[in-house]
Amino acid sequence: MVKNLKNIGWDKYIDVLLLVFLIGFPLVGSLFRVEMMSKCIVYIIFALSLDILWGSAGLMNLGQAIFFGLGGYVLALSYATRGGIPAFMSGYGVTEIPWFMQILHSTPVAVLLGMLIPGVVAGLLGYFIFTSKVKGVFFNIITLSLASLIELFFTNQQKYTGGANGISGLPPLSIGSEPLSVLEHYYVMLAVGLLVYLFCRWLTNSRFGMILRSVRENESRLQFFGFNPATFKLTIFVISGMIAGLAGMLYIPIHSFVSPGNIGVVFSTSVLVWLAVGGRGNLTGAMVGAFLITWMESLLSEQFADVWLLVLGFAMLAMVMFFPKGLVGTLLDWQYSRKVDRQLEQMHAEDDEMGLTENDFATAKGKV
Amino acid sequence: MELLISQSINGLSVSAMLFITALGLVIIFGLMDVVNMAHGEFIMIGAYVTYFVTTVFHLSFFAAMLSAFVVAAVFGALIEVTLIKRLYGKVAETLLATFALSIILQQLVRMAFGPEDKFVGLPMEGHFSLNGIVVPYYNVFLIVVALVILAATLGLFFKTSFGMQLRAVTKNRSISQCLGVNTARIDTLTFACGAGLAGLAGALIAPVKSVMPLMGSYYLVDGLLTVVLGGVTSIAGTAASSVVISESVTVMAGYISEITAKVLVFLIIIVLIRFKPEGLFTSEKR
Amino acid sequence: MAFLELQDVSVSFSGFLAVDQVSLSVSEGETRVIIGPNGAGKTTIIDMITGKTAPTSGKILLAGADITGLSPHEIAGKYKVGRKFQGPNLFDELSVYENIEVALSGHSSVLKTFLYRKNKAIVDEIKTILEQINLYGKREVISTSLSHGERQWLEMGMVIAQKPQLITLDEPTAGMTADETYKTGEMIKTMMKDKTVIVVEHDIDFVEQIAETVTVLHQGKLLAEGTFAEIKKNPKVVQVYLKDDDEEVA
Repeated sequence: MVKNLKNIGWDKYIDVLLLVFLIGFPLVGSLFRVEMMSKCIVYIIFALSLDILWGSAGLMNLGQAIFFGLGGYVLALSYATRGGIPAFMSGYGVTEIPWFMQILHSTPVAVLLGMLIPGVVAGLLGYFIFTSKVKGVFFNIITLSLASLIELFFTNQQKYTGGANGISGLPPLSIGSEPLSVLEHYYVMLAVGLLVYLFCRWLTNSRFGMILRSVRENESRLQFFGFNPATFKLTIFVISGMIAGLAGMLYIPIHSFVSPGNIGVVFSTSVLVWLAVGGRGNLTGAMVGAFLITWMESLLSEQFADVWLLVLGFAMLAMVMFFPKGLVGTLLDWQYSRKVDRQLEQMHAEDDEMGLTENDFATAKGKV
Repeated sequence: MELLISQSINGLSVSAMLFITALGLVIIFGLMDVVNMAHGEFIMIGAYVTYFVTTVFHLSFFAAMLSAFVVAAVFGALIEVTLIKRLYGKVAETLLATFALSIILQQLVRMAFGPEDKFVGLPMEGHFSLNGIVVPYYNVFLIVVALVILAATLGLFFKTSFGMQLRAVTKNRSISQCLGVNTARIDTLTFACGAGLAGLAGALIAPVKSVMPLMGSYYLVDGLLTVVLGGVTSIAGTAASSVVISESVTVMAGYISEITAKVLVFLIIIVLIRFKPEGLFTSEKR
Repeated sequence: MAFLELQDVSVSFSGFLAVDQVSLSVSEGETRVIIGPNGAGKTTIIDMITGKTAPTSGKILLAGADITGLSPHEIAGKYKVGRKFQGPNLFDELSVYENIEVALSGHSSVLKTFLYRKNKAIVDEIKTILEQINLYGKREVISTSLSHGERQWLEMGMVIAQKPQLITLDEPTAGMTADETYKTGEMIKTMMKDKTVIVVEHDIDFVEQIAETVTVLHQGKLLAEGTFAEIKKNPKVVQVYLKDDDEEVA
């Protein structure tokens, strides 16, 4: 019989390479670049949060930044209101910090809420969308609309959110009263990133992950095996929202400010582009996409801001039209078809001895 | 009470604008099952055409409306043939491709004409008063145009042979093909028609809204909400949901901020479609 | 006592009566075949038993429990009713092995999917099923790459993995060659030996191969019921099928 070819997918090699590169990067990069790379790791976590949702369960969230922004704003408000009433509030006549911001003053509470609030928003939104009989595309429409409205809403609520200017002057991470150095900061980010990655790997490799892929492939069929697809979609939407919220919080100490741009449509679009370019459903594609594009963006957009967006648009269009599975997805497909070819050859050789015809297994080759 | 009445009257012209800007999206979504994320950019194209026709070439506003429709329709037909046609049936890919298209169009217009607002003058000045409530003539014009477009679209779909073929293709593509309907041509025409309507909408809103590269994203979301509430297959439903959304937002905006009103309406819509997924204004079908 | 019982079940779709007051009773361990011309309401009956369509009136009882109008996942999960669809209905981008693994019974709540461990018993179980449906050699292949007949078998294997107490098969041999059809019949006989099975079928030879009792539906109504030999001789049945043939010729 066919030998079980223990081929390790190339995606796993890329993951290891990426990790090695990130661990060693501070040895070669300047402090400025290391700081940039810290941001890149946050984007990678953000990309992973969307991949477990879109790549696994096929739920293309057009407003993933909602959760990122909510996490970011929670932590930012926690920092900003600790030293009394911040300028953006007092400017609008706020004389007392409202109770819901006072509870944020404890960092653990803020961090908890920074993940819980996005989770609850995802849960409520998901409950209404997934238990309804609306067609699949409504999920996209609703999430896009919410991203757009919440961006306007946060811009509009100046006295609590700082309006279009956002909240700035936020402190870096610190242990006790001593702020972390850029390098220490970088490795904290990397450690959190690695944990998130391992969690996502575990999740997608588990039976839960397999059921999510079944939801993506054939949701209605799954019901007849005793599964309730709505609960699976709801669960992954909440988990995805919480991880995005975590990414939003990690962003605060690096970027030192948060604005409606972090919660709205444009940022939601960016993460879509990363996944469209890198590929979905294997985690690696999301990370490669996020890494390549944000890195290139920070190198190129300093000089060519307008052209950069144009290039991004064309890159996205080209990927959708010609490589819909993204860079890593296309690579893995190629590897899979080579593997099937080899297995078929083996079967062929064995079956020749048994006198079977070629047609028996030629069908297996159809998939690319 | 007076505020309530004046806001309701304002709401009518807002409804007309929403209907005009949403209609193209509904036609393409409802009939072709394509969510055109670049819908707002077709509106933008119409608005820029209007700016050039009226402000730069000093031609009449009606000439601008006509050229906005034609330019956007031709452009839509090109997009359909080159992009959309290759992606039929792939929902995520179509969304992404049109999303990319919207980014590209925004940037191209920005690079060509600059990021700043363009000014388009009102084609008709003046207003009349109704119990002290000021109503500009142009708002009345918008309402009339919306009604004319509604009637014309319904006529096109239910009284012409193109409309009949179109409805046949929507019901059953392969059988229509067998009966000799050129489905590829119908698809292109439908998309062009939806894009053209977006262009026309751009012309109509240009005098009262800002004309700039990023203006489109605003109309896309409002249009999508209208589709969700009105149901995807009904033009009359779109008209009804435009009125419901605009009236509730405008009336509420008399008392709270417009954005908060919009967020509230959005939340209500989400709860509503949980219990009536096919939209408020369509009857349930099997 | 009957294991599955349909009591005066009717369903109408916007005025059209697809199933009209059908009563049916299947005893435990029985293999029941439902035949009838196109539009007789065969698939609709399966739809109602598995929860895809709720009856407009009437009751469906399974092992004494009322399952009328429950959702598909409740009927499949709690009452263990398996369904093979007309034309293979699989998880396309998943491998053959994964398709079977998804269908495994007893691990279908969100919590249970997190706690699931693939132990030796599960591995053996999947292997046995894959061998029974002749697909062990292609277990790593993505299911879209299989031939039509293989896809039908894979779906049968998935239904077996579900360990149902009632199996419904909607035209399991559709699109198969005569040889494949015969193999399928033997599969049903061996793999589903002790189960209660309801089969909707067109192929008369296949019906003869597997049927214990045959129910004939015509235009949503119950026309006849009996052994294959009885049904073959029933004048009403003969007339319905002959009339149908005439129409097709005309």
